[in-house]
Amino acid sequence: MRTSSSLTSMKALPGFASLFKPRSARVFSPAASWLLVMPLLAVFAIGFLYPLAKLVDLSFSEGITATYGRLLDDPLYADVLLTTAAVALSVTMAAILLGYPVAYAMARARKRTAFIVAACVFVPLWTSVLIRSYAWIVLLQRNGIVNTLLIATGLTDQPIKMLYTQGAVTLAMTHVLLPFVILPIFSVLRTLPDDYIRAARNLGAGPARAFFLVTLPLSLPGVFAGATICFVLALGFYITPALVGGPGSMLMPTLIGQQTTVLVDWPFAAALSTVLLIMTLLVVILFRKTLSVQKGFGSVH
Amino acid sequence: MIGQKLILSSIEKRYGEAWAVREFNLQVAPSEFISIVGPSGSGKTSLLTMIAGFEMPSAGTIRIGERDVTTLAPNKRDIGMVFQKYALFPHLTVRQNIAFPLKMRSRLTRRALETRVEEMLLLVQLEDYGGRYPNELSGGQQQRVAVARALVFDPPVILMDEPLGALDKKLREDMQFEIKRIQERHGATVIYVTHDQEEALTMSDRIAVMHQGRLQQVDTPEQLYRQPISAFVADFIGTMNFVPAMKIAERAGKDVVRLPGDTVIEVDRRSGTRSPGEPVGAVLRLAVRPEHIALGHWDKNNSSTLAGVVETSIFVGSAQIVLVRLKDRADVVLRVQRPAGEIARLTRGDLVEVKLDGATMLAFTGEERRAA
Repeated sequence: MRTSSSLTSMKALPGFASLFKPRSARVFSPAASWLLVMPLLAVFAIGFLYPLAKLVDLSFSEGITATYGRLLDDPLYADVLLTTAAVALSVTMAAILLGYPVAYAMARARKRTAFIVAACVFVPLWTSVLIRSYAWIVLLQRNGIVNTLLIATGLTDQPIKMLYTQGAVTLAMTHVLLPFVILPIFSVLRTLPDDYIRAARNLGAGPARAFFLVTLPLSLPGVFAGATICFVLALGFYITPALVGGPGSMLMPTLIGQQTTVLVDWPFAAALSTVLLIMTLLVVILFRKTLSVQKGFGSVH
Repeated sequence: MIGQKLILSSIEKRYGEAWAVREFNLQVAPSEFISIVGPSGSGKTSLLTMIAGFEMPSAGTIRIGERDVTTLAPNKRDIGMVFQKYALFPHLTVRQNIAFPLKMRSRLTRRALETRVEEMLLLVQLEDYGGRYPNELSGGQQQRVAVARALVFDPPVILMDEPLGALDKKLREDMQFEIKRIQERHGATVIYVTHDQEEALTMSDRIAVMHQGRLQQVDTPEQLYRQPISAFVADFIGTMNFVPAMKIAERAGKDVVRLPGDTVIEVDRRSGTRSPGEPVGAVLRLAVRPEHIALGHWDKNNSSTLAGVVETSIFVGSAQIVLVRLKDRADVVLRVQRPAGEIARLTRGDLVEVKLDGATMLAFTGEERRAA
């Protein structure tokens, strides 16, 4: 009885029934799709959006002057913000310059060679960030491998201070973030048909011009994607700068960590976080804009 | 004239153990339109890749005009190429695509370059599309841009790798004439690779047929159709029927053969069609075109005729195609083409007399396998 009554009620509401009716065998109906996305959306709302709103709210809890005012007043904080952006930028640039050739080799090499190169990229990616950062400490410390080597070869008599500098932070972060740049570039290069390069060569371009006029511009979407991921991750990177960097090279995440755990100034930490968040969002929007300017790329594949 | 001769001598290409091309010799005259046809895997694309310079032959030389280009880099060969999927640069406009080879050469001033590009746009009838990107064009338009880009720097030789493969039938036919028209006006030597023998027959001055990496025959379309030198070529170019037969005697330069059903006919032995002198008793394959078979009324009193049973009869507009299965060789089905309208339609199961004329048939040795 219940089934039949529910069936009649369904018939009475044709609009509701059609909501669940798929338009084709391969596509879920709009209502069913929403139902499937719901759990994830709920997790996002509870675990991400709510705390975020709370964070922004917290940053205003003691009045704007106490947090954002202080941030603007003391040049130290603007300095840290600029340093963070500068480090993120140099890490991104270094990662692209170092990563592009690797991605190119992976995409163009024979199967076996490509596999070895890919392993060299992936194995570090699967290793914990903590371990990779400690590895840099081992390499760069006062009597570490690099200094020992430098002294042994007679290039210096005194060990050079490398650890706890901004250079060390940039170096270690580039290493950690390199795979995030390599992979998007690789995936674009791999799907780039050989015919484009062949056509360029056939039409009179030497290997270098074929690369700079055809391969490189056609792989830019991958470069932009990798750069965005790398820059955003670098802006908020905590572990590596905390371990490899020193007090002289304070970055935003380290500063925020200090405010929350050492000084327990939560509203100010929240204000710093909000500023970092806005900066990140601005970068993402900027990159997307640059990307959408590139006309004709939609048909690359 | 812009076209130059192209000479391929003893070209060989080996990948590990496998041969892609073997002992390939071909001389192409200036401004000639030559097609290379063959089933897939016959080595025609390998050959093209070597002429373009993307790969080096394992042996042999390639000459364009008086230049030996065998080991020359592709960008120094001055060969235009139209790729199967056009390979238009997606990040450049139509105009920039066509200007690309001119910019690489930087022989022209900016003004002259722009004029030249506009000329090409006009030639391929795309004068209003210069500012568009390739993905904003239809397949046929992209194809024409690819042709314009290959022609713009006046290369003496142009390679086309199945350039019409991606287009639908109607557009293909239009583009065949279009390419032919442009080539005739421009004068370049064209090497046209296709697996479509009909396309080759329509467009070419000469056709080179390849099979398993070797050149089988190179001839004018008409010669190739009328005088194929092997059963493979006979089968590949146009439609061909094969009837098994046994040689029973030789008479005045003709072979006397016995067909299934004990019919005896005389077949011309033409020079060049096969190595002459099979012994009496050898099994031959007689090749006959669909339009050379006639069908008549079956007369059961005349035992010396070849009998067949009609399988299907199809009306194709200009003709009637009848499939006839031989009564005495059930594995042989002949394709017969009759002018439409004149004769009463045959229906399935009709018994007919198959009339073969020795003068329109070619004899090949029996061992050759029929190509798929």
